Amino acid sequence: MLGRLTRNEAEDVFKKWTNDGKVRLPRLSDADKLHRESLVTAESKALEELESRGLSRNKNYYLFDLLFALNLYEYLTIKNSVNEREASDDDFWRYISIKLIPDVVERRWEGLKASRFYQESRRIWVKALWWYIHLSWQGSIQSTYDILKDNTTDTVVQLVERPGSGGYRVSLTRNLMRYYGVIADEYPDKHSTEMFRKIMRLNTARTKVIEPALVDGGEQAYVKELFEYFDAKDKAI
Amino acid sequence: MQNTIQLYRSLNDKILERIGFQEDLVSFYHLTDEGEEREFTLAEEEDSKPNVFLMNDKEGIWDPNTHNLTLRQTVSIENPLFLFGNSGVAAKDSRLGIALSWQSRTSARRGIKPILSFDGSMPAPLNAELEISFAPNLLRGSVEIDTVIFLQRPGEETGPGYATKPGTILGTLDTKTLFIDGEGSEFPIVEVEDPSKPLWWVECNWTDPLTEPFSQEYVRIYLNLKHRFNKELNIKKGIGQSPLLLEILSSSFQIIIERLKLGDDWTDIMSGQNFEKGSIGEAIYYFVNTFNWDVTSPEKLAGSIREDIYGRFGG
Repeated sequence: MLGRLTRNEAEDVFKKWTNDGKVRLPRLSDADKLHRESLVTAESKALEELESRGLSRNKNYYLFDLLFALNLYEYLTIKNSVNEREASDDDFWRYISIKLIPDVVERRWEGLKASRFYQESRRIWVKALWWYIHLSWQGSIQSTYDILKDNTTDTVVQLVERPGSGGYRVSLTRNLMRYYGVIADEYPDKHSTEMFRKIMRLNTARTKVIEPALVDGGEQAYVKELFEYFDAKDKAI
Repeated sequence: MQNTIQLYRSLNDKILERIGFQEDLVSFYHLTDEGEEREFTLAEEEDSKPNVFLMNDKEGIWDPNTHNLTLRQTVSIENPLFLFGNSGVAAKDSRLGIALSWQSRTSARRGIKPILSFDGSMPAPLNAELEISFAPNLLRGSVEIDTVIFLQRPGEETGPGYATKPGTILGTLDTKTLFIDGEGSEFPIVEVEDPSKPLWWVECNWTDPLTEPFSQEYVRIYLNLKHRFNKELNIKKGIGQSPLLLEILSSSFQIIIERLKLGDDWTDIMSGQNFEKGSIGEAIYYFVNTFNWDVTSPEKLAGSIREDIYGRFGG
């Protein structure tokens, strides 16, 4: 659907921007102009939603990211069928980041942060957001929003930057994020960044020998047990 | 593969030998645009690496962007009983399973598919029909598919060192690696959509061809799908039906080789020395020597590349 931009190409563009102190939009083909328009709308819709709740972007980065990410996912994946084959290709994201919506990235990061534009594979902002939604997807925008609304920017980092050996287990992360989302509603005091970090670390250790999909009760039972492990420990102490 | 110390018994060479794992040929299928299943054969068989598959459809129809991919293979375990009890990996009364575990770092995905389960009372030999499907537009780069044995249910009888948790992977019977694109001897082709650019061009982004991989990050041929001559490329029908594509490939190889000849590493590349596995240097060394390309002059190179490429793909 979209073009590709290599690391070298991105670097060249970024160097020029750094000299000028700001991003500059390139000339775009008609097709790319339409893509850009939709992605810029993804930003303005997220900002409007924040405003309607009396919130601002620079005090609610997570909520802005979440709303923008859902709009991004809706456009790329639901409307345009972008899937893992493209989403695992950094060149695909660099094209979006550097060619299509550099101004949106610049506004979010309040300046030229190379790692978020193109440099670090897991930190390219648009890429991290897409995977955050993909790994948490519950079947619709609304249901996915519902389970993610209480998280923080650190949740994104913990989930996306821990692919485990070999790659993400998508059905497992979706189960896990649903469970964590339900905890936020039912046991808000157990829903914490620290808890999530612990869960993710335990999961990394466990999956070295066990396949969650193959345990009794499958991934759902596995996830429940992950969370209950810390409950039991808390009680013991 | 795993760098943790396993605290339970798992498959080792001795057990593997004793149980007699055997496999038939792997076959590949996809659903066509009309919804029918079509088996396809690969353009080249890698005799030297029996479990490495370069996923180039001989007829050029299968496309990972739009088609799914199904693998089928019949395997058997001659003496499954040796997996149980004292000399095996699980207690006598436990239940084991066979599953296909796949990992693709390049597509950032992994998954597992259970195939069947069995216990010690199963008559020998144990036959299994392995089958796994990948959705269209999922795989990129390469994928490794392991046939594994896992613990489905531990036995009542406990013994020293037996795994006890259901879902524990007890070992790997077989590993296959599939290169979907951009690896092996396939050419890293990138499709772009930009009406302002030419129909095709090549980029050489390497700094050290002896170590940098022959992959899209370092060498690229761009095909412009928004160019007004795009239709002439006739990509959908496959490479054998597109003289234009054959010309682009031939010219691209020539450009890459001429570019390498200008650098300092050409002598090493041609003598087959000092390059790493999978590097640009190794790929070019392989092409030149396997397909008899004549690199002694530009005109001889142009002629010999075309003789080879038209011979192999041009029907």
